[in-house]
Amino acid sequence: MIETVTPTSNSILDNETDEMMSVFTESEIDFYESIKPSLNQLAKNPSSESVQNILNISKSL
Amino acid sequence: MNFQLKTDQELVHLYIKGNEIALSNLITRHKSRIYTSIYLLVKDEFLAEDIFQDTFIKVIKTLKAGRYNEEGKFLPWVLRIGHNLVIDYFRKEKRSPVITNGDGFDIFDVLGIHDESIEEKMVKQQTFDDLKALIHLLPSEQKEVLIMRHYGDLSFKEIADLTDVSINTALGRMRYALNNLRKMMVSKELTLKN
Repeated sequence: MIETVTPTSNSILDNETDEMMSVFTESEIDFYESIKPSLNQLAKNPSSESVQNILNISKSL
Repeated sequence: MNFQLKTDQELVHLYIKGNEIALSNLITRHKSRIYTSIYLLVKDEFLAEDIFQDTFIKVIKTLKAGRYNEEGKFLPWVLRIGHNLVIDYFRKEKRSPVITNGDGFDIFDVLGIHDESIEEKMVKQQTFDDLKALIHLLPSEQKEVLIMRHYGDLSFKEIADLTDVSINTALGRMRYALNNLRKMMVSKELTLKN
């Protein structure tokens, strides 16, 4: 028997099983892809002070 | 030594052996994912800073005590600690992280304000604020999965393990989150401009 594999470029489903792929419709995946850039721009970083506090605590332990 | 080329696991080993620069690199590598995941759940920058610090203090103590589980990946492990600290915080406050206009903030007020004369930058900022507000309107379990998947970059298996549900439940919650976001955006005629 010849096994065929269909590659997918949908990051939401990368490394997931066929069972998972069946959960999302193409429309849902397209929507997620469309909002990803905006979601990415909501990402924030902690203050440098917080990071320094952590490093200082680590050195003190 | 080029720390940037090292895996998380290698950095963890170096840190356990006493290399503090390895910890600095681990924090730099993952701070945005971890902090954003915490911040979007608690909605408060100062509180998120505190929980972010507490998360890494737990990480440090665990690593220095030699209690780190080598089988797990570093980032999901840290996110789990952060997630548990968020839950602890809301338990102590005796309130749920489910925020559906409970803080007096009304998404409909925000979405209703559109001054066409404001500059593009302000429009874009408003759009991001609107999107953030919509995310906060999601039921907590859907918001959690969306945040863990998108900002934590966790697999659904990892999310399922972290939230103690099945993979199908985690997937279903993500699906509901996306559909609810889309419905709210359509309802409010919110268009994302990047």
